[in-house]
Amino acid sequence: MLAVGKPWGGVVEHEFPTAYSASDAFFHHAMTEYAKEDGRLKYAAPYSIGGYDGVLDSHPPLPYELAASFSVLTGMETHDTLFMLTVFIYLFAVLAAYLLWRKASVAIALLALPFALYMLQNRLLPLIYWGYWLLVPGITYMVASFWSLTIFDSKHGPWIMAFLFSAIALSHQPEFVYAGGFFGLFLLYRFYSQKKISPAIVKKTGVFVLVIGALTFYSLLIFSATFLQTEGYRGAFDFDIARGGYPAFDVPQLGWMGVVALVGVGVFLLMRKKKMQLTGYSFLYSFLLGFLIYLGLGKRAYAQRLFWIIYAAFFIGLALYFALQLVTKKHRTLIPFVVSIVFILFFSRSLGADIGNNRGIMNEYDWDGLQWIASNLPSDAWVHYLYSDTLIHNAPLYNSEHLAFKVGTNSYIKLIQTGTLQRNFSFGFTDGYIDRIHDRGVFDFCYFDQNLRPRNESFECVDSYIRSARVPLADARKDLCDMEYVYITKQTSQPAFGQYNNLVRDVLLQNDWINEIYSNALVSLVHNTQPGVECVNV
Amino acid sequence: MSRFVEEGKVLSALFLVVFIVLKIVFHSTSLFTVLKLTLGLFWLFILPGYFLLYALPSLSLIERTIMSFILGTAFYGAIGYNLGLIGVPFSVQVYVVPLLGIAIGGWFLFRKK
Repeated sequence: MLAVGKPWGGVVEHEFPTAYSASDAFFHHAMTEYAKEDGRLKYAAPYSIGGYDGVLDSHPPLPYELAASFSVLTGMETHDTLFMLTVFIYLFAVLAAYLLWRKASVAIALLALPFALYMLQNRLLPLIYWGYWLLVPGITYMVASFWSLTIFDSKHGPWIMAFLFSAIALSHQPEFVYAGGFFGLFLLYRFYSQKKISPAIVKKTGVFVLVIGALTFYSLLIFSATFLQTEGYRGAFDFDIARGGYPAFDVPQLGWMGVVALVGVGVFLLMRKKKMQLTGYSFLYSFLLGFLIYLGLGKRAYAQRLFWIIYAAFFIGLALYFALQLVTKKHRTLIPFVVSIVFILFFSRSLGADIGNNRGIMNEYDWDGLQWIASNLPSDAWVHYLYSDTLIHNAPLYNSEHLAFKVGTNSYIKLIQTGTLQRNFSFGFTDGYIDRIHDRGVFDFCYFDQNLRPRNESFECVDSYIRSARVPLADARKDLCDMEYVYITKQTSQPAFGQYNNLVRDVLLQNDWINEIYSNALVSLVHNTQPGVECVNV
Repeated sequence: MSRFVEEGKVLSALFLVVFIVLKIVFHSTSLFTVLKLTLGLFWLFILPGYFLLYALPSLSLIERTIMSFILGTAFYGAIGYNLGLIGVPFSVQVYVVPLLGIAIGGWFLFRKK
C-alpha cells in the first residue's frame, strides 16, 4: 500500500499516468486503454502494430481485463486502475504466502511476515514502477496455487484450484509452467506415499485439467502461435543477457537474511515435520527456480530471484522460531507476535524512505500534447517526434493513438554536433510487437506482412510464422520537408537538444504552408500541409 | 437465516476495514471516491471470491478473507476474458461475472445438505 499511496501523494485519480517510470508500464496501459475503448479484450491497439486492425493481442490478458473492467465500472482512468490493481495484487502475493506459512505454524508465519517488507527495498521497487505488471500477478497466483494444494482433497477443491492455475496462465505463462511442475511433483509424492493411484485423485485431476483447458485454451493457443515461437527456451548463458532488463538480484543481495534463511532450510530438512512439508518444499522449489538461469532459461528464471525475499521469508521465520525456542518454550505465539511487531516497525521505517515520491516520467504538457493528437489528427496520420526527455521510449507514444516515429538519439546528437541545421533525420518506428497474428476464423490464423499499413493496403496475410522486419528505409530516414506532423519539445534537460529542436521549428514555421497547430509551454506540434515541397531557405 | 446474518456481519466488517485502509492510503482523496473504490473492489472481486469460497466450508476466516480477493480476481479475469472473446462487452461483464460468482457461491451456502 505504501508503494501506491506514497508516490501518488494520497490521491487515487490522476490526469495522466503517475509513477509510471519505464516503457513497459506505458505499454500495458496502452493495451488496457485500447481494450476499454474497443469494449472487450481481444485485439491489439493498431497504433502499436504498424496500423493494422484485427491483430490479436498476444499478451497474457488477465491484468488488462481486470483494469479495463474496473475502469468501466468505477469511471476511473485505466492508467490509475491498472497501476493500483497491480500493487494490490503484489500485496496479496505476500498475504497468500502468509497463508501458506500459517499452514506450517502461526508463530513462524508471524516471524516471517515482517521480512516481506524487504520487497520494498530500492533494488526491487522497479517491479512496480517499471511495469513488470504481468509478472507480478503471475507470481501472486503461483503462490496462491501452492496454497490451493491444501484444498485438493476437498470435494470442490479442484474447481477453485483450476481458477487459480488458469489465472497464472492468463497472467504470465512461465509461472504456469513452474506451478504445473510443482503440481506434478505433488501428485507424484501422493502416488509414492499411498503406493497406488486412487480413482478419486484421477477424477479430481481430470476435473482440474479440463477446467483449466476450457478457461485458457484460446489465450494459450495465441501464445503458442506468437510468443512461444520466440520466448520459449532462451539458451541464454551470458548472465547479463539472461537478466533481460530485470534489476540485478543475486544471492549476496540477500545479505544476512540469506544466511538466516540457509539456517532455516537446514532446520526444515532436519525437522522433517509433516505439517511443514508443503510450505517448505513449495518455497524451496520456488527459490531454486531462480537458479534455472544456469540451464539457459534466461529472464524467465531470473524473474524468480526478484521474489526470493518472499520465498526465503518462511525459512527466516523458521530459523528465528527455532532460536526463540532455544531461549524459552513459553508463550509460543505471543512472543513471535511481539517480535514480529517490533520487526515491522523497525523495517517499515527504513524501507518506507526508499519509496520516495516517484512521480514517474510523464508530465502534464506531453500528456496534453499526446491527447490532443489522439483527438484531433486524422486516424491515418503519422507523427514524427524530435528529441524529448519524456518520450524517449516507444510505449508512451501509444497515448497519441497514431503511428509514431521518434528520432534516434545517437543520430540526433551527431546532427547537433555539426552545429548547423541538417535536413536528414533518422527515426525509429515505435512498434510494440514482434509478430502480428490475425484471425481469419476462430481457429484459422495468419501473420500480417511486416510493412506499415499505409504501404501495404493489400493486407497480405501469410500462413507461416514471420517475425517483424525492419521498417523500410524510406520510413526510417526522413527529409525535414517530407514530414507531415512534427512533435517538437521546446525544453529539454540538456539544453542542446531543446535548442536544436527549436531551430527545426523556427525553420519550418518560416513557410506559409507550415503551421503550428498545437502548442503549450513544453510542446509544439507543427503541420506541414505540403510534405515534399522544399521548405528550407525558400 | 442466522447464517445469512452472520455472514452479513463478517462482510460488513470486511468492507469497513477495506474502506478505512484505502482511506488511509489515499488520504487526500474524498470519502466519496474512496467509497466508490471500495464498492468497486467488493463488487468485482471480493464478493464473488468470498461467495465462491463457500464451496470450501472448512476454510478459516483469515483464509476466506485473503483468498476472496485472489480468487475473485482470478475468477473475474478468466470468465470475463472468455466472455469478451465471444463478444460480451466490459459494460455487461462487470455485472454478469460478479453475479455469476455470487450465484454459484450462494448455491453452495444455502443448498440443503
